[in-house]
Amino acid sequence: MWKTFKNGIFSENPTFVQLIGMCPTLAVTTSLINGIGMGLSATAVLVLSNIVISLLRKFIPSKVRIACYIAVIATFVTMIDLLLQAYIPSLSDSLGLFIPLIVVNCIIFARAEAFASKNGVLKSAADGLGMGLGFTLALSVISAVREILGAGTILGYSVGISTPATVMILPPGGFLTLGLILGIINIIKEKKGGKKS
Amino acid sequence: MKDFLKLAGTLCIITFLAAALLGGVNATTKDRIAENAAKKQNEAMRALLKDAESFEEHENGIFEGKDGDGAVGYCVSLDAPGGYGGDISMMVGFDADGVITGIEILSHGETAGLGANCANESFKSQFAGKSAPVFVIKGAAENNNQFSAITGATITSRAIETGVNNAYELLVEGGYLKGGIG
Amino acid sequence: MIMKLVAISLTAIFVQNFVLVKFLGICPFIGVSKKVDTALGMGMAVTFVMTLASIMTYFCQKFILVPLNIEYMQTIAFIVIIAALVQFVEMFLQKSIPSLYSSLGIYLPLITTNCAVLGVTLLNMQQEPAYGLIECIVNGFSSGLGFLLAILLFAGVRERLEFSDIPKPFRGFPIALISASLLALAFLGFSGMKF
Repeated sequence: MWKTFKNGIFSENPTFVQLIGMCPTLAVTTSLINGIGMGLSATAVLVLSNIVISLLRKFIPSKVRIACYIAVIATFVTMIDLLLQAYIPSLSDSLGLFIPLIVVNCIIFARAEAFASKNGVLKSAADGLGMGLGFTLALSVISAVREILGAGTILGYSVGISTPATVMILPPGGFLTLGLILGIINIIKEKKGGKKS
Repeated sequence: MKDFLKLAGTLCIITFLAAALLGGVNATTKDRIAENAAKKQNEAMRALLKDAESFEEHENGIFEGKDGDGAVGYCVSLDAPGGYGGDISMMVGFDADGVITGIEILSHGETAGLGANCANESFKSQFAGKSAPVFVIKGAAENNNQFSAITGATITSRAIETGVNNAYELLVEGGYLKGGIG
Repeated sequence: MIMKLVAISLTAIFVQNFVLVKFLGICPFIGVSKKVDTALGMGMAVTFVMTLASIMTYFCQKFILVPLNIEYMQTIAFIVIIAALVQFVEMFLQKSIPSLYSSLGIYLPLITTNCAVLGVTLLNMQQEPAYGLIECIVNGFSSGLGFLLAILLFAGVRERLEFSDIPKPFRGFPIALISASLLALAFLGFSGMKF
């Protein structure tokens, strides 16, 4: 169980290793608070939908399973959307369109299809939580880099960069940051692999 | 046939449960969401007219701020057309003499890092004490009718200019303020 | 009216390009862009579905959600419409235009989870002042064309990357993303244009 949980965060990190769920990864990571908010919202949906789909896995006929998954996921997404609007309106404002778009986040679909439909409830919940936190971690790293370089702030507090490079919080900066982080991860992996052999 | 019924039945049950659940969540959050919108508007008005004790709503999104003696100023809530990401929903405050007390941005779809800076205090605060009609210029403002544009966001700045001036016109047309544009 | 439609169209294709500016539909943009012909197929399939989805969701919003006062069910209703639509298009093409089906077929199921399609339908409904049917169709179609343009350009770049001498840790996705960044930088040049 612990292994399932850890898998999602490191060895099978949805963003850095599997490269899925890219749209929100790039779009909302303009500030750290947005990155964390998006990550946690997706985690909530992921855990809930994994639990429900795992519970229903014996009742859902395989022919209509995609439609059923869509219904389950869309329900939870709408719930989170309404709850955010009601209780954390500022976050709901800044994430905007990307909250309803969690519905089509491939991570949630992929986990429903590949894991929750084949495993027990507790294991599926652990998987959802692991994947979700892995996603949150990835978003936090990317958004921290972009916020520091692009706006010269972190969580809204100034870090003392007098002329930040605005381009980092514009779309090109999103692609660039993710590309560089993936490259750096590869370099680290290579070094580790070299030591082992 | 039996198979078909099973498929349709399962789907129906799941969607029905989903709809029921959503209906429930919507019922519990609906009031709160409406309250939030009202609260946001209220906070914006309080920030713009600090002396007002109560607000009276008139037509065209005009709110009259009152204290014990009478009107202390007006707030106009309106959508400024022509922002980069659609209309910018904003509120403009005027004192009883028609001098701008400030602006508040209620919601916008501008680009993060550029146009979105219109919601920053450093941009909004420059409006206090200006007189309508205002004009956007690049660089520092030189007189009471000018305000400086947001760097890299000319369209957003122009939309705000239009919004502030439209708000002023609404007040003049409604007979709340004297004088005209120009 | 014509001018307004041209403006919507140019904005959707260049200024507010779905992929490079709005970050919608990134998964297929990165996933299916290794070769120019597959990119073309995917782009065309997306454009087709986006246009149809814009029409269907417009009617759904206008005649079902708003009259019944259940706008909060928008997300769930739209995604179900899109999923059903994709399924129908797939079946229709398979039966009546097999040649088109064989070239687009494999991309169709992927489109259900393409956030660009759901994105355009949701954005259509959020416009201020509200879009009519014609505007929705033009916006849906042009956004699809914007996606097509971006994925085609990107596939062209990636085909050349295959033969370039790139530092080993950056081969594959990292360099592809960095190239996408340059492409996005180019599209940033359109920003600020207002028709």
